[in-house]
Amino acid sequence: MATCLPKELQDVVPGCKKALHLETLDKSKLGAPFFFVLAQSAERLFQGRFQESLGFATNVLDYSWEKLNTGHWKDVDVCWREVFTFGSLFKAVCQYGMRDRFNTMDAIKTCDLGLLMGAPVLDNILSRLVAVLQNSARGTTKRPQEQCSKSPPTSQVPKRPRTLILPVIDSEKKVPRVHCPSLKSFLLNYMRKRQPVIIQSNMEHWPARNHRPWSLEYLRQIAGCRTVPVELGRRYTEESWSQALMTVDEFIDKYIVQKSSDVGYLAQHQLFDQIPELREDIRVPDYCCLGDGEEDDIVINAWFGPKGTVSPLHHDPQHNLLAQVVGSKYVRLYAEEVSDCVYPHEGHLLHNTSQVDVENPDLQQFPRFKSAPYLECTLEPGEMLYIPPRYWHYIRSLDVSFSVSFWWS
Amino acid sequence: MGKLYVFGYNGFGQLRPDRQDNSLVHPVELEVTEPDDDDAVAMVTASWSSAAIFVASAGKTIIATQGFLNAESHQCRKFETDAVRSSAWIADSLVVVREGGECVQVDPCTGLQQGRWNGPDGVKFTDVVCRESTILALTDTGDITMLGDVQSTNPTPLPVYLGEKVKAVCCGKEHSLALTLSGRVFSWGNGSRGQLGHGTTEASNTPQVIEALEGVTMVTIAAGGWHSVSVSAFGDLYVWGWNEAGQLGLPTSKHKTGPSDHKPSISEMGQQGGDNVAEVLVQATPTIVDMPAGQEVSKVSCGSRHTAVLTRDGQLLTWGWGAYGQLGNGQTERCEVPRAVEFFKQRKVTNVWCGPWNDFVQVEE
Repeated sequence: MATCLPKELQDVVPGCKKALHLETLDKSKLGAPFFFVLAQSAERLFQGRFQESLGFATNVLDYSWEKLNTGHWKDVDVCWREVFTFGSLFKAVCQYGMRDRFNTMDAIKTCDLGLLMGAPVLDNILSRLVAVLQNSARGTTKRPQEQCSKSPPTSQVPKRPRTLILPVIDSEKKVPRVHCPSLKSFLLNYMRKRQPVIIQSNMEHWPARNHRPWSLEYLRQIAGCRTVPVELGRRYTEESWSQALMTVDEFIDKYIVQKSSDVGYLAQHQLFDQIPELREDIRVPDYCCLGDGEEDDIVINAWFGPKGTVSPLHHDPQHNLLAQVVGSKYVRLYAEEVSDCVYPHEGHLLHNTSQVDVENPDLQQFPRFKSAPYLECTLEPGEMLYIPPRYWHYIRSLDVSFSVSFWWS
Repeated sequence: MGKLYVFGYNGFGQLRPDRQDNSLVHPVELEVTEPDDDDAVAMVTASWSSAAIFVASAGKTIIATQGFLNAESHQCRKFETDAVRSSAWIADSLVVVREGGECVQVDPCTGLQQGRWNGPDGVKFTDVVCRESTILALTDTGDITMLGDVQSTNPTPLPVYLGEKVKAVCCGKEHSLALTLSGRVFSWGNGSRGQLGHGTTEASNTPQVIEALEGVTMVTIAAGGWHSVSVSAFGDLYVWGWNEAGQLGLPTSKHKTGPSDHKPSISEMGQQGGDNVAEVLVQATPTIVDMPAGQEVSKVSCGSRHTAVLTRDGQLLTWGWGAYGQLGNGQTERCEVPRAVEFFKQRKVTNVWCGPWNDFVQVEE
């Protein structure tokens, strides 16, 4: 029987329900009623009854969304994330199949929500589907034109005067800079000694710093229509802080290009898992293999935002290399040994975050902060900062900035 | 003799087995009993996929079940049992408390008993509520008991200690509430959306009194998926917990996000069918919700993400998540403030029972 699926999707989406292998899902955990709805959606999809399939796919997504929000996110059984992916797949195909009612952007957004919340199934089918949908929306299967390497990387990024906000770095407290240390030297002198350091000249080979410079125009071309989580509010410790989902285009329009008084920050997001095309523009530093973990366990996060984004003083459990691709950032570092002086929040959720506003400390409330020794730097494009595990760090962007962090154990 | 109207999610035919619509956005009548019968619907309990309608009839109870039964959707069954005073769904089974104080699990297709729980010596059960795999029962001594899996050989009940006599108990997806004889409200379980009402997003393993409500006598409680409500003796409605879909009835714009230690996961933002920007709103301390024209509340019921109340003059108000028509107003938008349901304005509503994504409303003829 000929498949009822749109022709463009046939290379990615299997032609029949059987090929989805829904029977391998844990039916006892999902429950018979839920499994029934999931199967109904799949069955109608392959019959080309998109309207009905979409109804059941929506039931699947709403029900699994409630499961994803029951209990701690990390404790939710992976089967609920897998069926969230299936629901997203069915919904996206239905939306594409009913292009008289939906546009391709709706289907792309559905895939992105599935990628953000779901767990991969069928060899990461959503990632492959979204690539096809994106090409369909662009009207081409080619990657956007590579730019001439002579053009400056930040040509499209609006420059703003740095007056007033540029911190004066105390030469006594400067983070040391080294030029591409050997693995052994990095391990012995910095990782083992838990010593922050700035590594220079180690990003020259990144396409993002070469022939595919990360201009706003380029990011729009590659990722403009993709939905990403954005942090709203100056810092995550503030009451008004919240998060929202929006496309990269919307984010650039509203928070990067415009002089908005609201701060939006695409922060701590695994953008490169979501958009493999961007992943090709970066390189995992060799230093990240100096650890006990597997290479697959290295967590790569994107940090993209306007001037003035602030990550309050906090620490993370893993080794961190913060690679600065576009713009510069002011960083302040406090050793784990002086934790007493930075006044961590109480309660388990923010215990890794300091209560002190680093650049405007309330010394009446936090008197010990004044005496705490620290290091500081302005991290420039092309530089990577090594932050040891549990080392307190405070970061403020001085320009429109795009950083990539690598966390490893 | 009253009429029963239904609206909201009908994906399994649990509202109207004869209707294929995934959702019924306008209230429609559900005929349960013969038109000339004097019997009245005493209670409705609904799971995500099924519903059970209990009709009291000459000292017995007729149970009509509909929805996903025997691995098929759009089914309906009817059977007569000993009089029932309370019931709840646990997975695909029905748990009922009989007038005699017995708590049993029955097959929702046949009414055949699948197991029973023995309370502490001679104690009679009066009420039962379920969530996920937890079953909480209330005894005639005013104590809460946690019941284990009926399939296990010796399902030993575990007492839940409050230090006060309890008259009502209810539970959300991750938390439980208890109302004491003295009108105090206790809560325990997960508090990540402020649903415990203790002013934080911390969890509590043991029942703690909600201090913000102290001094106000409460007469009714209800719990949604992640939100909680109580009604005072004055008919005021208090709400706390998650306002993600407006289920608290608090306008999101005027409203604070609550404690800053609630760092939401991505899943909380990716809400389906809502607008692009999903605000995360947590109300960790009980607050009063104003009813239109200062109406007083007599009954309340919560779905997973919506709320329905009955006022003392017989009006039905709904708010919260509306994607399946569970607000009964013919629409699928969320509503962030209590709003009277137009359809029932000319009718006198006598009771409301919410399923997770749907509603059953009893109207006096």
